[in-house]
Amino acid sequence: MTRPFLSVEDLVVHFPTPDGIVRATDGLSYTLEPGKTLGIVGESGSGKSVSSSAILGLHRNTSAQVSGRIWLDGVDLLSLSDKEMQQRRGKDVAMIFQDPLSALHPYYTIGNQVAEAYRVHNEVSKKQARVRAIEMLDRVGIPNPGQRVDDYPHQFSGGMRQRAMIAMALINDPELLIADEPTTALDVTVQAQILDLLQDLQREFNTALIMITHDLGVIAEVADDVLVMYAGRAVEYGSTKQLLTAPAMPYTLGLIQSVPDLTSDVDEPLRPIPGNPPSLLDPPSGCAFAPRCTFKHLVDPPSLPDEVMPELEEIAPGHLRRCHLREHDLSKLIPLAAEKVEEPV
Amino acid sequence: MFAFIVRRILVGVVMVVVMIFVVFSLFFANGNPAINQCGRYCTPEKLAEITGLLGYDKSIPEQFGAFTAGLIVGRDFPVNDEYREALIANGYENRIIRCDAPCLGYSQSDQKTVNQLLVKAAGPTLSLAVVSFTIWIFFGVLIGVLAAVFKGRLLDRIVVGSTLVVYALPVFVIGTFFLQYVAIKWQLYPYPRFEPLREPADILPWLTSIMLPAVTLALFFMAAYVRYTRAFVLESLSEDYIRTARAKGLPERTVLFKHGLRSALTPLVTLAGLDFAGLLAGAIITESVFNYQGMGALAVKANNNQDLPVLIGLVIVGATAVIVMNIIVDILYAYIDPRVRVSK
Amino acid sequence: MKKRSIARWGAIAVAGAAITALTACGAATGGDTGNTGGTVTYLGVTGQWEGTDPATVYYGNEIASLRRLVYRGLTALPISDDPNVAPVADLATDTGTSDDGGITWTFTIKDGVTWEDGTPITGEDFIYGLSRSFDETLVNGTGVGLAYFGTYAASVVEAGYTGPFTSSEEAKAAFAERFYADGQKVTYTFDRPWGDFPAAAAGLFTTDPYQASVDDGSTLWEINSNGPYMMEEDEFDSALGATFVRNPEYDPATDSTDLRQALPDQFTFELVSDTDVLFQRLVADAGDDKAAFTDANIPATFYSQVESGAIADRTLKSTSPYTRFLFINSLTVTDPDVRRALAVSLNKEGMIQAYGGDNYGEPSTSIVSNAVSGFEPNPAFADDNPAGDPAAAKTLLAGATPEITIGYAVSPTNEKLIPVIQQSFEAAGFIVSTYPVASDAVPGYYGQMARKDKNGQKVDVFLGGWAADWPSMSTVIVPILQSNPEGAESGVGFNYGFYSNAEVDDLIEQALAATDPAEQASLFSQADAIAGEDGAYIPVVQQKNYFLYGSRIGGFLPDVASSFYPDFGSIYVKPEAAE
Repeated sequence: MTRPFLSVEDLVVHFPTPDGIVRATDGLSYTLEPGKTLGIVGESGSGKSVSSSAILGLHRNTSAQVSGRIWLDGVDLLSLSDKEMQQRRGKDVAMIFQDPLSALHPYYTIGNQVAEAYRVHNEVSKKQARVRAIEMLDRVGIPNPGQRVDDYPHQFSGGMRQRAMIAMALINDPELLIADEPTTALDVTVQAQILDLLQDLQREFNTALIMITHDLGVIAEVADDVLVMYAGRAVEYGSTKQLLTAPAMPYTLGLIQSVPDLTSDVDEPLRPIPGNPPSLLDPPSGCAFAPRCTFKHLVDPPSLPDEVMPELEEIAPGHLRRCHLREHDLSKLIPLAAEKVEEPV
Repeated sequence: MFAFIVRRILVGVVMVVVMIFVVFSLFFANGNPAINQCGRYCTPEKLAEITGLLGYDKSIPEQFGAFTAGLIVGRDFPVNDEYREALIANGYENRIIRCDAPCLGYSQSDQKTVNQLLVKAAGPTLSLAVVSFTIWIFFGVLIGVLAAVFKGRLLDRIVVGSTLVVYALPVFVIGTFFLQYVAIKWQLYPYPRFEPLREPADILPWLTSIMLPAVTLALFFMAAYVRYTRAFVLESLSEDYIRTARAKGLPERTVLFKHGLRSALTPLVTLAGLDFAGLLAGAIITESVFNYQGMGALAVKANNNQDLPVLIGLVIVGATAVIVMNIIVDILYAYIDPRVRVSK
Repeated sequence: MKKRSIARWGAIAVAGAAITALTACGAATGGDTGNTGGTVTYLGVTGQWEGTDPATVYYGNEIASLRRLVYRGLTALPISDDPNVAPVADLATDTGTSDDGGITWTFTIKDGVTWEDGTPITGEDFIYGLSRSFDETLVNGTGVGLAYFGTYAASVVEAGYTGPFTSSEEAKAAFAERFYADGQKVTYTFDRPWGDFPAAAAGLFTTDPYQASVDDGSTLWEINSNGPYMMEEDEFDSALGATFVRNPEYDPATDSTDLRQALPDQFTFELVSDTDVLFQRLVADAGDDKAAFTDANIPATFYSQVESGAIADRTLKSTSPYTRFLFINSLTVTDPDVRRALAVSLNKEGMIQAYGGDNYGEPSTSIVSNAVSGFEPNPAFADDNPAGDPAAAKTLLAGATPEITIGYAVSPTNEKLIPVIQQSFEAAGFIVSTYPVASDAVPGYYGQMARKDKNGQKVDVFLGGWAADWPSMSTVIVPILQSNPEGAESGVGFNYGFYSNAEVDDLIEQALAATDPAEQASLFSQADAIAGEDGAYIPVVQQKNYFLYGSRIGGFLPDVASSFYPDFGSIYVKPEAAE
């Protein structure tokens, strides 16, 4: 049996701190094929960025404890030496970040930074790398790239900077691209352009793409599959269609409901998920979402979510969720939802 | 950039002028300074005579004016007009001391122009400043980077601990240890007597003679700079662009030295520039421990003698050093950080 | 003398001197000489040099070294361990002649004596040297010579003479009438007899010659030599020192080895700012420092290191020209019995402990130091109990309890000293209060004490100290005991106690006119005895010197000629083998 192109298996990322272990990611598994897009959704601190950084081995210089398997094209990245990992970083796997202003070095020109990514993995002269950088800048839609290549990041607009980041990430034609909230820091109009660009390039290079976001609108537009993360764990996993049309986990439902709907009445209040995510330092032993769950009283017995962590269960082919509720179709339960939830301690 | 520098220099000149005026005013606020030249057995007549001789009987604005004129066109000393006229009348024009522009004044108690005194003191002070600066920047930054890279490990803990100890030790204690134990008692190093650097052949003796005080001074600053560098590098290494650099697959060495150190350097340049400027005004404690006759020793002596012209001269030199270093720091800043550069 | 003596005094006090029993110094005297060649390093203390222009030179250590190396005078005192040594001729052919009892003095300058550029020294050079000592700008307003000439040649000062550069024609005429040269013959005429002028000429540089052609207005740190050595540098560095090498123009035939043996080829003057560093170098005795010595006293912190073993052989104890005493304000303490009661009650031994113990000094019986020619203990104090005698004091007071205020300058030493004095006086029945003067007070301590009204404060007893300017009692008795002029608001000389006794004044006049040193000393001793009986002052301590020098130093001799600093004229470098 051939392994999927990318297969994350039981990934654990823990950060020891003086106060205890921060369980940033716990037992995470998913797969991804070339040309496909996986959306990872979750609130800040849900472990979506941490788990993705683990794929690039970015936790190697920290005190983080990483375990599990990350198979990429038949190789377990976690078993590689630092040197081997460094050689794959930026070549096989690339990443673009949320805030392109802080992610670009303020003291070096755009061209220098883009070309640097090329030179480190290819034996070329500075001049050749520069030509290649200009080519890539042109490809990501930077006008007049021959001149702008010598500009510094602060001389670029936000959208242009993100285009430059994309150019830098794709310059080595990576097999896997991780985009960590690539549009969050950008204007709305620019967001759409960047997403379009990413999709164009993905098709062109047949890249596997992990799109980390908290924006379900982005997911709806680009993702084939969606992984919802909560408190370091996957809580629901399935195709975009399955998740958006038939969410089977109250947290996913909450995320969908909290998106403002252009067709709805403007006076209707937004419905954010009440409460706050739990501390990863001392997570609840039961369902991490239980304190915020408006359906908790429907579980039999209602104390179960507080005591027992639900397992990931496959409720439909390719659709997994982590929930104690018997009902798979949450839309039926909406009228029974509690008005208030208990405040998390 | 050019206009910027010109503007900074003009502001600096105004600051120096204001400072001279303040020093003048403060100096006379305590009563007649001539009393310090009058000896312990001082009669009112004698005090009046000395006051007149030193020109302290003139109003502060008048003295300030004469001083400023001296800066531009030079001055004759002693300042007392009648005294100079009497010298000419008696055929002793050769006893009038001509102090060419920019004349910083004349120290009656040393019978030298302030310019001469400052030039003489500049040798040890500049030598001490340059050598100790070189030592502390090189080792301070190097050790600081190492500590940052090995953060939390044994090396880092040793470095952080020992810098704390060195920083807590007064310069006086370190200097005295080097002089009295290393040089005298154990005879491990030649007794430091300043050797001026006049020609290339002097480099070795000069460096040998300056090493103990320079290391004394450098240790103190080094302790601080190790900690600064460590903090700045750690801060820099936590920046997003460092993650980007790693994500690109750059080797750790490049990440550290090309991406990490460059931004950590920026605040260090400011600190180093100002600390260096401070040294140009003299390292009083180090100079006094090693009996080096630099700006610091001159300042102590002038203060003890209440020698106004010398004090003013030192203020001007010190202030100018700070202002010039500030301008240099600004230029360096622009060189290091493109965001500071005025856009094309 | 005047405040400069006090300044010198202060400098010594800062150096923290301390010593033991007076031992006559047993080093080489004028007769036998040591090894020639080598370099002697003199380690001085930074800040103790205030100028090398002869018009400014005053400190004992400056005089001791420069007189032997570079500045020859009319007369000089020979290298000798004799405490009653007499001046001998130096640049002059004899020690001067006076036919009118000390008013007019005539000297003839030797032929063949030259400046370091080879120019012969003329009589005119002596007159020029003297004349420029009257210039206040030259002497930084504090010239010591002028203080004496202001007394003995008051008419010149009163005529408005301010030196050759700025004086009016009338004033210059007044000067020229009294001081003039005729070829190699130099004549000095004073207003009143100056019996020990030849001794003054040895100890003061005011009467030294000066070469007019090198006088350019910035001479404070220049040295134009006429002695066996000359300065290598253009200027003496007040903070670092200078190097003295042999002067090729010096002709030993014009000089005497009694004055200058000039044995080393070079003298290096190295000034050190920290006495601890200085003594650690001498203790270490390494390299060039083996041929080094100092004129600073061993600090108390070094006693344990230097008092035993081989290093003790490199130490020498001697007396010092310095004494400390208590002034009595004669204007407020008028009853002689009360003054005597203060004197007999004083616990001098307790005070000496507060000063630093036996190495610092011993109880004294006069304001005159035993280092001064013709010194005799003052019989008035000779029998006083050095530990104080409250019972005897009570008898003198006969039941009275006078109120006494002690004036002093605030310093760490004085803070220990004052309680001892206070307890002594209180034990005798005095009611005691103190008047401390802060170190930054304006006027300073002596400025306030000099005033007749003590700056408006009631001060009855106050601390003082003095050293002879040259080893003659005239430089002690005259400034301290001679009556101040009628109507003076401030004490002249050092008579800050405003002591006045016609009998004493009369003896002083006789002594000043005496040209025979023994006769002069005897007259001064009589004056001192009367003043002591009268309770003019209370003697406290005769200070001592305690020196350390390198293992290759020979001819180390603190003597009268050098104010009991080591004599530069006899010192030499022992050969390696002699180590």
